[in-house]
Amino acid sequence: MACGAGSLLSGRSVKKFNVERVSFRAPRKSETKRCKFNIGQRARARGAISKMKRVPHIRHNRLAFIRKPPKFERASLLALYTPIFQQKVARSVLDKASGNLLFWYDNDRVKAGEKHHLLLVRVFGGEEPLKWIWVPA
Amino acid sequence: MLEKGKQLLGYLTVDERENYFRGAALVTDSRGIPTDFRYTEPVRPTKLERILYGSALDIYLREEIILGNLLDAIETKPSLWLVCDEALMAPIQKISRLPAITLEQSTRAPLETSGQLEPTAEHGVFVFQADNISAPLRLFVADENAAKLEQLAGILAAAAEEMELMEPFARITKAIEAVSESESR
Repeated sequence: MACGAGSLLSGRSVKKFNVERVSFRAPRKSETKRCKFNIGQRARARGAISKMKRVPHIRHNRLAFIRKPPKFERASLLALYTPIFQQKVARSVLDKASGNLLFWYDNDRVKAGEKHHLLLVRVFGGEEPLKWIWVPA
Repeated sequence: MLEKGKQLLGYLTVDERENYFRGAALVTDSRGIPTDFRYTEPVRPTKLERILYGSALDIYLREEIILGNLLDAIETKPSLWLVCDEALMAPIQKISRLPAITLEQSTRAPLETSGQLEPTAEHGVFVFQADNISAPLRLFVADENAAKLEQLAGILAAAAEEMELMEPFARITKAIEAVSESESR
């Protein structure tokens, strides 16, 4: 099998090929690539206080932790959320799925006032079955 | 920074989700009202960086890069830093030179009085009753802050009268989600 023509065994048949058609590319001059490690620059710290101020505060129902729950006539205590600065609350929402109270403080109100507990009470036989009551903490 | 009175609390988180590392720092007043909030852009190390840094990548990213950038950027310095991840305590203290404490929810029965600390079998770990109407917390303090523990617990108990101590961690998560949503638009 001299140069000029060659053969490859493929199964039973012998395939012939022309060596002249096979070309080799000579390796080019080796290149060294420089990799930039800029993880530090990619993790820059940004400020977003305005976004954070739009996130509501959360209060969990603490009813399970009251040692002596208050008793009401024809009513029962469903939830207790504390501590909350009532005069500073701009908006509040009860998340029915979690039972958590979400609220937004109005940060421009300088006077915070006194902190309060917010009670959710079920009233039996009343016009409104649920009642919110603020109690000084 | 540890005098009693109106104290600022610092909350710090560093998370890795789907190979993206991200950190955030929130400083609140004693009512939980934010006074400073910083977050880092999400960082995804390249395959090459993962290979070259190897097992050191996680620590390098969390401690030197993310914590370093956050603590550098925070302008309102808190009285102490609160974290949920014990591994963050030492680098935070090293970089910020402020005490750091790990706080976690616990399922223990409430202790008698607010501010009460009860040691556990684990070194540096205490059960801490922040207020009278909640479950106690698991508090971990490093040896270098053990002497200041009563003082630090006092700051936390004073804050717990006006806010829920663990709640700002949830707000950080929500704020980061809001930031991510606005970035992806």
